[in-house]
Amino acid sequence: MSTLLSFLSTLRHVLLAAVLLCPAQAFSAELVLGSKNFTEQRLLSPITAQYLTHMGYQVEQKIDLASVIMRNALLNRQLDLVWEYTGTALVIYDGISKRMTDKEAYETVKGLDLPRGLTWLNPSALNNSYALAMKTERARAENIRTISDLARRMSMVQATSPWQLGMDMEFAGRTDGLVPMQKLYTLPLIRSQIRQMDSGLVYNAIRDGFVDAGLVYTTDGRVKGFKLLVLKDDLAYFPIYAATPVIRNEVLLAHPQLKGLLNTLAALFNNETMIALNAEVDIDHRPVAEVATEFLRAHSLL
Amino acid sequence: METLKQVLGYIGHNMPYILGLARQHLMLVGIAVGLAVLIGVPLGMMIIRFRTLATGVLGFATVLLTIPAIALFGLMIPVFSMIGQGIGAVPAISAAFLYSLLPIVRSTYTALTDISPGVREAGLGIGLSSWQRLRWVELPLAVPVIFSGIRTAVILNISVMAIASIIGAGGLGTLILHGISQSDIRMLLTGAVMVSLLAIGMDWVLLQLQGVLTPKGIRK
Amino acid sequence: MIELQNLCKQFPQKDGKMFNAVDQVNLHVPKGKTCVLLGPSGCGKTTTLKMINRLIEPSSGKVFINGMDSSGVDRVTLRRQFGYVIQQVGLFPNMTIEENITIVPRMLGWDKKKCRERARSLMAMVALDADRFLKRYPHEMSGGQQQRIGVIRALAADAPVLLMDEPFGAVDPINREQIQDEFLLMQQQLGKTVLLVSHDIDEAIKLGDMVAVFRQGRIVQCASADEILARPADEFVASFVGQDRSLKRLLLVQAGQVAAMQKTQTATLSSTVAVAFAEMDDSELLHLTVVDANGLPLGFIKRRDAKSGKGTCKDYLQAIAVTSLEGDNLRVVLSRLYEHNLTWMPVVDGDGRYCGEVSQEYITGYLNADHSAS
Repeated sequence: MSTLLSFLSTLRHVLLAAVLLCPAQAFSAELVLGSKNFTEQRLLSPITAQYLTHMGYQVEQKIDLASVIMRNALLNRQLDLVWEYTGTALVIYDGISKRMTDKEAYETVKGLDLPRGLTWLNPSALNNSYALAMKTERARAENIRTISDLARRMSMVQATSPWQLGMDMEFAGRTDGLVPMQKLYTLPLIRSQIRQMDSGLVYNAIRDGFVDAGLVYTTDGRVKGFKLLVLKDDLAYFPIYAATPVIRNEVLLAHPQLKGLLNTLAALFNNETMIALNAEVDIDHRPVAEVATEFLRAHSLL
Repeated sequence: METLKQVLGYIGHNMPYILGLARQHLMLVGIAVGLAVLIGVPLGMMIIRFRTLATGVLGFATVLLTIPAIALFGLMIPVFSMIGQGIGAVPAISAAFLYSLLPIVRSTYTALTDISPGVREAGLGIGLSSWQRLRWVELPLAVPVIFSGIRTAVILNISVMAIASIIGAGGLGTLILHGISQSDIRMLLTGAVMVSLLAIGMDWVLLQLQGVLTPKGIRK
Repeated sequence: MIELQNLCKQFPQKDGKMFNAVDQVNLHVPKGKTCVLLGPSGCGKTTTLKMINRLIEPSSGKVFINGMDSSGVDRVTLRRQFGYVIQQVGLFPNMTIEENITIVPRMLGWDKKKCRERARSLMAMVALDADRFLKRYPHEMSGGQQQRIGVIRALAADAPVLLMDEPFGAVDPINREQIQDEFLLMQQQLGKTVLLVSHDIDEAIKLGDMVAVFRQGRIVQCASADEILARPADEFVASFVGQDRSLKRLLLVQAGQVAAMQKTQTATLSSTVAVAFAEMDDSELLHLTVVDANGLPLGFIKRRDAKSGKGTCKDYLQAIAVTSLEGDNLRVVLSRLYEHNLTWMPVVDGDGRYCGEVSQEYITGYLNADHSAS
């Protein structure tokens, strides 16, 4: 009997924990900040969270989300606030493949999202676009500077020793990803030449020679740290990906000051600063929270 | 050697963070398995009573377990998005809950099936009601087997829960995920080792608990 | 006490046809009697037993307990009116011996002290050390000990009826004899109404006041064990009880019963041999037992000696090699006769007084006479 009772009471504790914890995790924070699953976003998250916390908000960070998941969570009101890229919203969420200037792209997504309950604040000068990259040494040796150079070179050796390209699964699968790019540059590629992997692994793969070229983010610290060469997008295939704070209208209405605070942050970022910050994490292996604190202190925001 | 030193250094500098993730990890697994026990044990008892359901229920639970973990977690997102809980703890717990069902339902079913016919008939024959038989005889006798099912579920889910970080539920998987995408072997190793340690540790804890809960008369 | 009326049980078979496991069984077991349901496996005896406490629901027919139709009673309530003992014992391994014994009393709400006392007195009944065993668990006991606990668990709540399904079937032969003896002793004190399923004719003879022989779902004969051995109803019963059924009957008859058939004829030490001879001559006896004033046998004289002799019996007294007790069964007596190469021996009562004699002749005479009513 007593064993049974204690068994039941164990169950009761588990249940109690379940009841107590679930809502605590889901509803306690005033602001829920979402971020994506790569280093730059992992930095933007604590920078924003620490700053807003310092300004008196309670912030919960939801990290490591895939773009579409993050977008849905924002629309489902599970998230209040994210850093989104104009190009991503334009191409992936709204399926617009028309070439646009930075300004046009920003205005378009801003206009489309407002009726959906989302406000795009000021865009930063941070353009985290895609690019193809190679080991600098090798690119020099083979005289490759642009994607067109790459395509040419690859065509030459396609029959004998086909090159391998590394990229993340998202890009390989996206309608605005690999396929149209391949077409535009007439890259000779068959399936076996495409190595899909986590976006962060592509840098190591290029460095260590597992792939000949790969898809990188222009602001990633490892471009510099691993001595990679970003190939020029000479046919202007990749759109502009300007990192921009996006907030739910309701939240902004409840906390109007957030607009100013987030715009302050947006004004701080450009590619140089971000490459440096990313390198601190990916090359020097420093904790993101520490790097974030340091960055905010340097700008006297903490 | 150098790597080991780096890993130890990393752990040393990030102890509270790592422990926090471990706690979060355990919490997710604990709630999922706890719910699975609350649902699975009665379900196991029910399919003993209604044997025709047994094949269906056990089959369904088996199929759940064959779904790749990463797919099951992914599947939870659209489902829970409908109630605005597409990311975070809720879908992660739900996925792990589904994974836990099979070991728990099956162990309950097996435990109750394996009760010797003599004991069953004696219980019936001396006039115990079905509830009394369950509460006084069959459940206590089933404890060790049910518990081994719970242990299986916990260990399985401690490793499966490492995936939960991709749907924003956190846990030790965060270290592994970051380790991979930030080319940081220290985080990767720390995450992997912590997951293993957690599994080994929890197995031990549950084994002790099983010992305490097992009726004295059937302890080995 | 227990009455079965036209009890039937049908099971569907694999081919879809119905199989009559129990077919029109009628049986009346009076209060305080032990009825053994006897038969080969598959004859329906266990099914019949289980229909009494409704572990199996009858297809048709009725079970009356003290005249009350049991079909209206809730199953759990019904089962608590019976003590139930099964071959596999079925002690609950998670409970101590005390918890096992007192489970029904506890269900019935007896207080702790009463339960404990009950457990102790029952343990004493089967000669098990309560201090040693009550706090132990079933797996710490031998098979025979466990079955004793199984029996006293059935007795714990003092149910008036015991249903026993091959209760001693799994116990080794030596222990079985012993438990059967203990059970008989208990039954003498408690006077329960017992229905006991067995496939063992010897067990039926030993324990049953009445024996119902089953064949293919029917009772083919229901009578006392002696009657069944003496006059089996048909070939089946005869072959089931065995070729040696007359020898088995020996178990059922006590020396005293044989002795009681004779008039008591004795001489004393001071009797003259002439008187003794006349007595023997009248009754065509070959010997006469000589007793003292209290009736205790001192020896015997032979007819041959008395015929020619003069004087008193004292002069011709022969020693008695061995005697048997009234309560000894004939099997024991016969065995003793062979052992000592004798044709007869005196029977004495509990106080050692002569009450007659047994001889092969007397035994044959007794078995052929009609005593089945006794």
